[in-house]
Amino acid sequence: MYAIECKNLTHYYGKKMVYENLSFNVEEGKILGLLGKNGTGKSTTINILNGFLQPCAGECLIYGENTQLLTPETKRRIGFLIEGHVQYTFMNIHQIEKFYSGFYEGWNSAPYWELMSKLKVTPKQKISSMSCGQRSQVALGLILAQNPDLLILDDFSMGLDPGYRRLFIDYMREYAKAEHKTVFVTSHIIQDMERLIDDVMIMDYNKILAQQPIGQFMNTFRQFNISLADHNAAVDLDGIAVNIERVKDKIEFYTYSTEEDVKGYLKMKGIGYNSFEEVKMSLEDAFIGLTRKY
Amino acid sequence: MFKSIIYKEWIKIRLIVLISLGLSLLALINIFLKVRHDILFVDAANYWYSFLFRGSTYFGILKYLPFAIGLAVAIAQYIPETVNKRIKLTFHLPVSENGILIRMHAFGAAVLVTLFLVVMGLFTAGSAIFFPSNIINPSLVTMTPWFLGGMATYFLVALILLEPVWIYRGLYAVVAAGFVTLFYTSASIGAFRPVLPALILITVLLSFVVLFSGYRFRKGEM
Amino acid sequence: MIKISRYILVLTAVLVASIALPAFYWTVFEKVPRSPQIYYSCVTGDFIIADGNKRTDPSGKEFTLDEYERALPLLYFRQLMADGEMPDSIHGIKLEAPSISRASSFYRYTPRKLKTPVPTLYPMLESQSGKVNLAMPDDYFRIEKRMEFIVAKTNRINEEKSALFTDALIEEGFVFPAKIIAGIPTTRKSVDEGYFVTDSGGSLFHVKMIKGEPYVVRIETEEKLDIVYIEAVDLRSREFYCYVFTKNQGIFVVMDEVYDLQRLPVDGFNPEIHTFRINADLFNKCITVLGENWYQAIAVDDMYKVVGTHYEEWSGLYERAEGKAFASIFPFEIRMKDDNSAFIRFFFRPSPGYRWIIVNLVALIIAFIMIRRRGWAIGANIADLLIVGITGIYGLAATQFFPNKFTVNKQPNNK
Repeated sequence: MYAIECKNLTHYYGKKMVYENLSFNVEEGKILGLLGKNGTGKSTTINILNGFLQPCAGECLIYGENTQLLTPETKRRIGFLIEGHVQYTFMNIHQIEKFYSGFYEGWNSAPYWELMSKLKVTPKQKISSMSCGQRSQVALGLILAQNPDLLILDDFSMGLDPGYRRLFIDYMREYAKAEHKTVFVTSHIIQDMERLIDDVMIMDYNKILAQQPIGQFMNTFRQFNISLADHNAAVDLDGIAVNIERVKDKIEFYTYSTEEDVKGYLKMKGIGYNSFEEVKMSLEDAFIGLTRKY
Repeated sequence: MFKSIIYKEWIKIRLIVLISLGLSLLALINIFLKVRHDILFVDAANYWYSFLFRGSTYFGILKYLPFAIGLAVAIAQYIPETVNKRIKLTFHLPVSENGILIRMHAFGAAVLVTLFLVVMGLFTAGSAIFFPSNIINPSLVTMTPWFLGGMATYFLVALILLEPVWIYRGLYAVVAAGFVTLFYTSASIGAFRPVLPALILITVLLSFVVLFSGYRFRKGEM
Repeated sequence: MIKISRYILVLTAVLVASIALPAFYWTVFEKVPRSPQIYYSCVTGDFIIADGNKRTDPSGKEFTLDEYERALPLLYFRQLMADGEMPDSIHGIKLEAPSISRASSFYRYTPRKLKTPVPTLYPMLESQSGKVNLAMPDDYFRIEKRMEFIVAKTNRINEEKSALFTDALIEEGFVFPAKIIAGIPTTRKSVDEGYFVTDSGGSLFHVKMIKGEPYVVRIETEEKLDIVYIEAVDLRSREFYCYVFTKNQGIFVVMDEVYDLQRLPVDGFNPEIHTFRINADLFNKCITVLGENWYQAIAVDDMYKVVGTHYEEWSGLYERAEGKAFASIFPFEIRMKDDNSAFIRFFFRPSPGYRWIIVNLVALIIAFIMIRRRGWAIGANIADLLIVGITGIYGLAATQFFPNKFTVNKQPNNK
C-alpha cells in the first residue's frame, strides 16, 4: 500500500524544464528522503504534493486522492512542515496551539507541551522573537499534536544548528517507527540523514539519479581511487563509472560495480595502474559522488 | 473550527481595529465639539444656512478615514499570510481552501462593516442633537460612498496582497486605484444618491473576489 | 465562484477603463464648445450673435465693437453715454438710465438646475417687516406631512407657527407633501416674495409670511401643468415672480400680483437637455434655446408677441475631428459626472455610428492570437472573446489584467 504515488510528473517554469515523466512511490510506514542540490526540483515536488502547484502533466496521489483535490479528511491525515519551519509567528505558543487544535478532532497536545517545556521561552513570547531552533520545535510539536499518518517535511534541517538537527532527526525516527508513520522528507543537507531515512531518492537537474533503500544504496554505490601508471594516458571509463574526478594521474571514480568488475574492465581496456583502493563513503560522500561537486 | 479562524484573524487585526475605532471616535468628538462651538459663535441659523445653501459640510474630516481603515485592516490581515507564503499553512488545514479563505475574509469584512456602522450610527445620533433629518439625510448620502469605498479598498487590497505574481499585483492595483477613486469623487451634498445602488452592488460583488488570488496562489502561479 | 470572481474583476476593470481612458482622451483633445450669445437689437430690428470675438447678424454681416455697441444701446448704455453716442429716444420712447436698468434682466436655465440635489429646508423671511433691510429668520421650514418650522438654535419644532401655516395651506386645498419649493432664500434681494410651491398633486401655490401671518394663494392654471422646475426671480420691473418649466408643455412666467401664467413662445423645449436664456430690455425679450449644436432665438415684444426668430446649427461633437476619432476608437464611454446633471451616476454614452467596430475587431483578433499563443482552449475563452468583442480595448485590457488561467483537474485514474 502506498501513501504517496506520483506518476509521470512533468513540470516547466515557462520554458525551463524541471523534470519530465518523474514517477515515484512512498510505501506506508517508510521514511523517504528526497535529496538534491538546490534548484533540482525538491520544492517543486513538495508543492505538487501539497496541492500548491499544478504540474504541467502527470499527477500525485496521496492515499489515492489527487493532491490538487485533497478532501479535508485526507488533509487531516497529512502533517506539513514548510521549508524554514514557517509558522504564524505573530502568535505565542499558547495561541498557536489553541488555533490549530480547533481543526483536528484527534488533537493531542501532550507531545507539543512536552517539547515546549524544554524550550526556554516565556508564555507570552511571540514565535517571531524565538530562535530558529526554537521555532523548529514549535513547528514539530504542532505536527506531533496533529498526529498525522503522513508527514511531509520540507528541508527541515535548514537553519538548524547541529544539536537541534540531531535532536530533530532522532526524535522523528523514533516517533515515526513507534507510531508507524509515513515520512516524506527533503533536504539539501545530507549530514545525519542516514540516521533517519529508510529509502533515498537523489534528484539532479531534470532527473532522478537514484531511488532505493538506503542500505542497498550505501552497499552498492562505491568509490575507487586509482593512481594511473601512465600520467597522460587517455582513460575511458564511461562503460562502468557513474562519475569520474581526475587530477593528473589520480582518478576518483564512482560506480555501482564491484571491485572485481572494475578491475576486469580496466584490464579489458588495457589501463595500467600503480594503486587501486576502495574508499568507504558516508551518505554525504556518496551524494557528492553521485551528483558531482559542482 | 470557525472559532479558530476568528481567533487567528482577530489576533492579526485587533490592534489596527482598536486604533481605527479610537481614531474614529476622536474624529466624531472633534466633529461635534466643532459643531457645538460654531452654533454658539456663528449663530445656529447661519450655520444651518451654510449646509443648506452654500454646500459646506461639518463632517469632511471623515472622508478618507474609511479608506485608511480598509487599507490598514487588509494589510494587517493579509501581509502576515503572504510573508514566507504562510497562507500555505491555512490552505493545508482540513477545510476546503476556498471555504477557509472566504471565512477569513468574511470575518475581516464583518469587523469593518460593524466598525463603519458604529461610526455612522454615532454620527447620526450626534447629528440628531443639533440638526433635523433634512440636514442629516443628505449628509449620510454624502458619506455612504466613503464608507463603501473603505469596504472596496479592503476587498481589493486583499486581492492584491494574495496575488502571487508581482506584475499582476501591479495591474490589479491600477484597477483598484481607478475603482476606489470613484467613491471619493468630489460632488455636492447628496449628489451620490442615484449611483449608490450600483456602487453597493459592485462592492458586494467584490466581496469574494479574493478567491481569484487564492486560486492563483494555490495553482502555483509565479 | 472563482471563475465568477474573475468575471466580476474583469467587468470592474472594464468599468474603470471606460471611465478613465475617455476622460484622459477628452482632457487632451477636447475643445471648448461653441456657446454664442444672442441679442435682439432695437436699432436694427434683428438678432446680433456674439461668438467669441466675432459679432454678426443672421445674414453674416460682421460688426465692429463700436457698431455692435451702438446696435445694442440698451445693453451698452453706460458705454454709449460715456462716448456721447447714446440716442435720446428710440421708437418714440425717451431713454433714461433708471428705466433702462429697471427693464433689463438676464436669466439662464440649464438642465443641471433640474438634476441637482436640492435642500429640503428653507428660511421664511418676513415680507413686510416695515424695515428697509430684510432679515433672516431664526427658523427653517419644511413641507412634508405638514408645514413645520424648526428653530435652529434648539433643533425643535415651533408647533404654534407650524400649525398656523399648515392650516393656511390646507384651507387653500394644499395636498401634502410639497414636491417643489422655489424661492430666493437670501436677504440680498429687493423684496421678499416668499416661495412658489407645488403640492403632491402638482398644483402651484404662492406661500409667504406677512407680519407673522401666513399668506397662501393657490395659482389656478388653464390646463394641468406637469411642473418640473420653478425658479423665482427678483425683477426690478416686478413684471413676474418666477419661471415655471414643465415637462413638455413649455415655459411659463407667473405674472406679478395677478398670478396669470404667461406662456413663452417656445415649442419643443426639453428641460432635461436644453438650455434656456432670456435677455430682457425695455422693448424686447430675446429668448434663446440651446441644444448641443444648435440654437433657436426668439424675440418677443413687451406683450410677448413674436417679432423675430433665428435658427442656427453647427457640427456636433461627434462630427468634429476629435469626436470622430473618439467614436472610432471607443465603442462607448461611462462618465460619473455629466454636463446636464449635478448628480453622480454611471452615465452611459454609446459612440454614434459604427466606426468603432474596426477597433473592436482588431482587439478581438489580438485577444484570439494571445489565447492561441498561450495554448489555451478557445472554448474556455468564449466569454472573454465576447467581452472583448463588445467592449473593445477596454475588454482587451481587462481580460489581460486578470488572466483566464484555469486548469482542469483530472480525477485520479484509478478511481
